[in-house]
Amino acid sequence: MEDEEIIGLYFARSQSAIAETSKKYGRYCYSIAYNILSNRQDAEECVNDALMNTWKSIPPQRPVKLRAFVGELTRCAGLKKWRDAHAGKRGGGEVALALEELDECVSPGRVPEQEVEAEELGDAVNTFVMGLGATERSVFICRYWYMRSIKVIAAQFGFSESKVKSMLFRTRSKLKDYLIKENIYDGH
Amino acid sequence: MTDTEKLLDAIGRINGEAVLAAGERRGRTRGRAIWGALAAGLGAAAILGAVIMAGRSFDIKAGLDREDFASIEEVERLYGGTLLTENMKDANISSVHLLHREGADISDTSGWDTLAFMAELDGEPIEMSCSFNAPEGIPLPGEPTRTVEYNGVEVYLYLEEFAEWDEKYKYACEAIFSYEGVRYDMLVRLREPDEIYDFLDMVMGISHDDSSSDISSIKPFDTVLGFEDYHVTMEQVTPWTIVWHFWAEIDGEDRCVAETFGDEQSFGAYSVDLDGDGVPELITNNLYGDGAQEVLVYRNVDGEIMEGRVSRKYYENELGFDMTVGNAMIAEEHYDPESNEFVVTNYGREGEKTVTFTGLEHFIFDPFEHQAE
Repeated sequence: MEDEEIIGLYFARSQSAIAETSKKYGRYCYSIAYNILSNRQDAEECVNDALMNTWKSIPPQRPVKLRAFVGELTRCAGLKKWRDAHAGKRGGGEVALALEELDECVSPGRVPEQEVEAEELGDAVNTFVMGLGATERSVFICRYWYMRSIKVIAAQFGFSESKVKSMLFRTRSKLKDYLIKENIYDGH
Repeated sequence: MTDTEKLLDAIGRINGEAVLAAGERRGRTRGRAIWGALAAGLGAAAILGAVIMAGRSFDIKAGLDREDFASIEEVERLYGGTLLTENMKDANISSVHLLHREGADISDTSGWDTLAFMAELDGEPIEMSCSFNAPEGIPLPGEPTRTVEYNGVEVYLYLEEFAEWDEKYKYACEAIFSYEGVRYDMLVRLREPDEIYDFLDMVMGISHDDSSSDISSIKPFDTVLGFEDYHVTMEQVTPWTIVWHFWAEIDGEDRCVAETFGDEQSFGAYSVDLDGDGVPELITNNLYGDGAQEVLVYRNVDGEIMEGRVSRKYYENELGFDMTVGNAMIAEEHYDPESNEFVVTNYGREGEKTVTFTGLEHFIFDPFEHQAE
């Protein structure tokens, strides 16, 4: 079924909208959730949460790309579930590794007395990422959006693992400089 | 929530198109399956009507004549050289015509300007032109959406989305490349952007039948990691990178126990008992798409498959090479089966240095996890 038709079902409040979304994008959502949670049952629950959130969001929202929309909701739901399970501790898996790697981008911390708005930070990160070269951008997204392991990314692009690590290291350094330049984080 | 967690959340707001593009796995196995289905489904010649994309025509330029042909084979015979149309045997080709110098003999290929035809593959329309005059000098129509390489040939892809255009096809893609003095310009309609690779596979003559993707009949060794019942499969992960997977039946399940990266020319795997325990290790010389060369050794330790890499300590001690995260790999590793030695060359700032060693003492082993899609 085409996306437009599925979205039409959401607007008509037909519950088959969820089934059709699951049929078309369930596997994609599951792979996102599994990368974050590394557990089959948790990943399935996460996909269900994401589908319910899709039901709540459409309408009023009308996504241009349904796949991207449900993917983002799955990622949000997965990270929330991961945080609930690892409250106060880093835990394991790719999320913990990704957080460890991204630590260097926010260090030494935000500008004093300035609360970074999620929207502002999101816009800044998006602008930065969209300004990267195509391969650098895709590798960054695979690592920190999809939480794919270095090994999987290396296999996906046919690169050595050291090249992927090196590429990510350089991108993180650039991101840190960019966020300081945009006065989101303090460079001192 | 920490600042780092907020940053991770913010990454979730990256433009959806970019996220979807990055998430595409360009695994060519999928392409093969589609191609196989297309080829299998190709039966009776279908009618190619006015289904070709609008807005394209092959106007006769001043000073040129047009000659129509009943088949592409007639043109190929006249041309004498290599035309990639020879790889399109499974396509139903029609409306073949050649633009050539006005008044010139058609058999004189130096007067040929453009060969144009329409084709159809299992109902999918393709339009192609082949330019013979100064093909390298023809400017590209703009910045390509993507550039890919097929066997050393650069292919420029121009993808357009036509959401409202056609219920069946959402995209049109133009692929432009030059091969042996001929510039090819192929236009196809697609349901998904990745389908362009199936058409390019066909034109470039890259075969994806079962015998090329599954080389299970080839058993390079009596056993792999002690498993007699094993088979090997080949996966093309990018146009220039191939991964060979070694599969063995363990506890009734087919499990990948080792893999090696290479290209079409290389398959670097050796079964050698390095530690003398009676179970041969599998040594793989890996060549990655970025040119890096790395040795991986696989061991079967009481049923658990371990994957070993040359230790960073060895680099530091023997080569003075500090392998920190920010550095690109500037060392090349390979196993020499004739001398049974591992050879590591460091191309550092202080010049090239090569060391060799035998045995497994400089390897660090971790459990092998096959990263299946």
